[in-house]
Amino acid sequence: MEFFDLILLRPILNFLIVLSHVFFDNFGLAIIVLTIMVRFVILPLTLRQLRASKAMSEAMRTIQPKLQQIKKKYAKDKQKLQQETMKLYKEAGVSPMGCLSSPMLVSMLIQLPIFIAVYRAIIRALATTPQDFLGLSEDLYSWSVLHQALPVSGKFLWLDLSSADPYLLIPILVGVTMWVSQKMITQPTTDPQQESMQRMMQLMMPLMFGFICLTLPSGLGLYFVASTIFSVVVQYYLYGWGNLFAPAPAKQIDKKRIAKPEKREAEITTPGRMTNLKEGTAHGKSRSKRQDSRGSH
Amino acid sequence: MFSNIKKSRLSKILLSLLLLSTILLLAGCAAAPTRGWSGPAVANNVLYVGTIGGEVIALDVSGDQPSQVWSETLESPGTGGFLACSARLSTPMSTYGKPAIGEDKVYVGGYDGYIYSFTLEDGYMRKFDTGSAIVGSPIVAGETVFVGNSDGKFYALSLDLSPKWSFKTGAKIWSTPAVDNGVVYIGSSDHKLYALDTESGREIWHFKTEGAILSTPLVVDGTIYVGSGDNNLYAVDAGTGEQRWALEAGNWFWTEALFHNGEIWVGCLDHKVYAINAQNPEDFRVVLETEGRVRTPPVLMENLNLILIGSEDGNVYAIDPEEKSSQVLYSFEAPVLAPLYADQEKDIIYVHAQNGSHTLYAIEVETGDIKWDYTTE
Repeated sequence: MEFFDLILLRPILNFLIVLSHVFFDNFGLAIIVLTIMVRFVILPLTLRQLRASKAMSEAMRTIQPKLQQIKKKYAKDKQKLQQETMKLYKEAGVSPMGCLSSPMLVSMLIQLPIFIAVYRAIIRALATTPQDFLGLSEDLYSWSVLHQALPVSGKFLWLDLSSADPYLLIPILVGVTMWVSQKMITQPTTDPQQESMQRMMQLMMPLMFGFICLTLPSGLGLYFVASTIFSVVVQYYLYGWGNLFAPAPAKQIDKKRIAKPEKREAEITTPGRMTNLKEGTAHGKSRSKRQDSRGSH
Repeated sequence: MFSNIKKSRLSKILLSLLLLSTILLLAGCAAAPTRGWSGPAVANNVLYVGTIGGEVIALDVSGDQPSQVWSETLESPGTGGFLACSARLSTPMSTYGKPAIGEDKVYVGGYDGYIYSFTLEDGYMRKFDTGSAIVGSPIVAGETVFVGNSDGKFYALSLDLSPKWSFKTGAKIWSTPAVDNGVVYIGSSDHKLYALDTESGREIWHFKTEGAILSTPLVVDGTIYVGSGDNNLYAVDAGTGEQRWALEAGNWFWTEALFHNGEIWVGCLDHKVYAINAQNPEDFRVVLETEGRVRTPPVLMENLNLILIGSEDGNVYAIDPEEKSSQVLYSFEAPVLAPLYADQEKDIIYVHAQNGSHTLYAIEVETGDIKWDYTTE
């Protein structure tokens, strides 16, 4: 823990306090600026993680029809099913470990300590109790600007950053921004199991973070909000609004169920033809267009 | 061997666990709960002290073992809460500072923002809401009780706790005031030391430093000695508020100095104890270097001519003021952050150590033996 404090926590803490002094002794502004700066520093990792996640989701979506075929074909031979599934994953470049695959995991593992360090730096700088303030004396560098900046002012807009938001706006903002961020990057899926998992994650994380922000000092909530809005902006520049305004996955599945002729055709397609996934998809699309044009007449 | 599907499920479970543990970690490490570091005060063989359990207790210390005279629970709106360890959820009824003893009452500042008065005889309680946590000790001077709070407000109250006047500073007041010659001196986290008229609360002057003033001012012969969060100990003219000298140390000062034989004795958060010539700050010595921060004020045991001081390293040290030599009087293996109380008649020192349950010890200074201990929770 001392190594973590020395390398990450103390530099961030001291920098945060200096920022607060530079930004007119406004600690709220310092939190926002620090969060944005840290997010910019780790932006290459974030981009790598997002791109890997997107690529894997798309690859997963592309192989879904073939995966279903394999499942049906080898329903009675578990060993063969396993071998063929692995082979398909390998060919499509999909990791069976999902988002815990190596490029994403490495990005997450590098970012997580930084997020925790920023989080803890905010708590330490706020030093709400006398014990916390006493502890702060050990963490500071011998820069005179730090003495001038302390204690940091907890007043920011309507908030006392050292206590929870009495109007509950921060917990709500945390929940809403997290939901938006999650929804933007979630790829629609036809797999009901995966879809339910996605839906659970989309709701659970914003709800849990919103819930803990009911009791946490609002300075930490402000950090979550600033960080998540940064994510939303990055995601927007990469992929636009993504899946945010798309209909719910369940509705998409229902639509596919209605499109029976297409499904029936997929079922009778020869295995040789189905290996060309792009061809299959393009065929499906051109068929839909034909149906649309017929409808318009 | 796991199948691919099992692996996929495993990854989801692992991810969920990682998410859950991160959330718990974030929620759990918000801040340490307030535990207080109340020091004892003694009058007429009765010792008064605040406990981490939110009580004020009165102990008869005239015999070989203490006996409880009365105890009162400080009522608090605190309710615990989610994981019971975030800043807002800690029980805000701890007491910092030491009780102030008046003619027939004892006054205690609560972390819940109330100042309480208890009659010495039976503990009958009155209280006054200052609106924000009290960390410094209240003091009684004549017919007035003075106390500051975390909203930066400084109050003068009558002995029955009705307000006389108040003065607003720019940041939290965690310092204990000092009164001399009709003037009350109080340090504030807005970096200023204020001199206020005791009768009206009018500001006479203020002295600005570069750091928060958490220390208690010491007034000796028209000079105020006060430490600051800018690592300096200042000597300030009590009449004009002009600086006489400053001595820079290695960290903040958060304690009160002691004047003895022309020297200022003071502990510092840089783990050291300094003895400084009051007239010439260049003539100073580091008398003691401990393993922890020193925030207890030094106290003089007059009969034995020893200066006693506690440290966060768990030791109480006895220092010979002439030889400047020191030795460990007693080792508690728990931080000593609360002010010590020296009973000059019995040559006993009372120490409220910050171990798990906050135990109060009576130590015979001459021998270094514990006479008795009393768990205050």
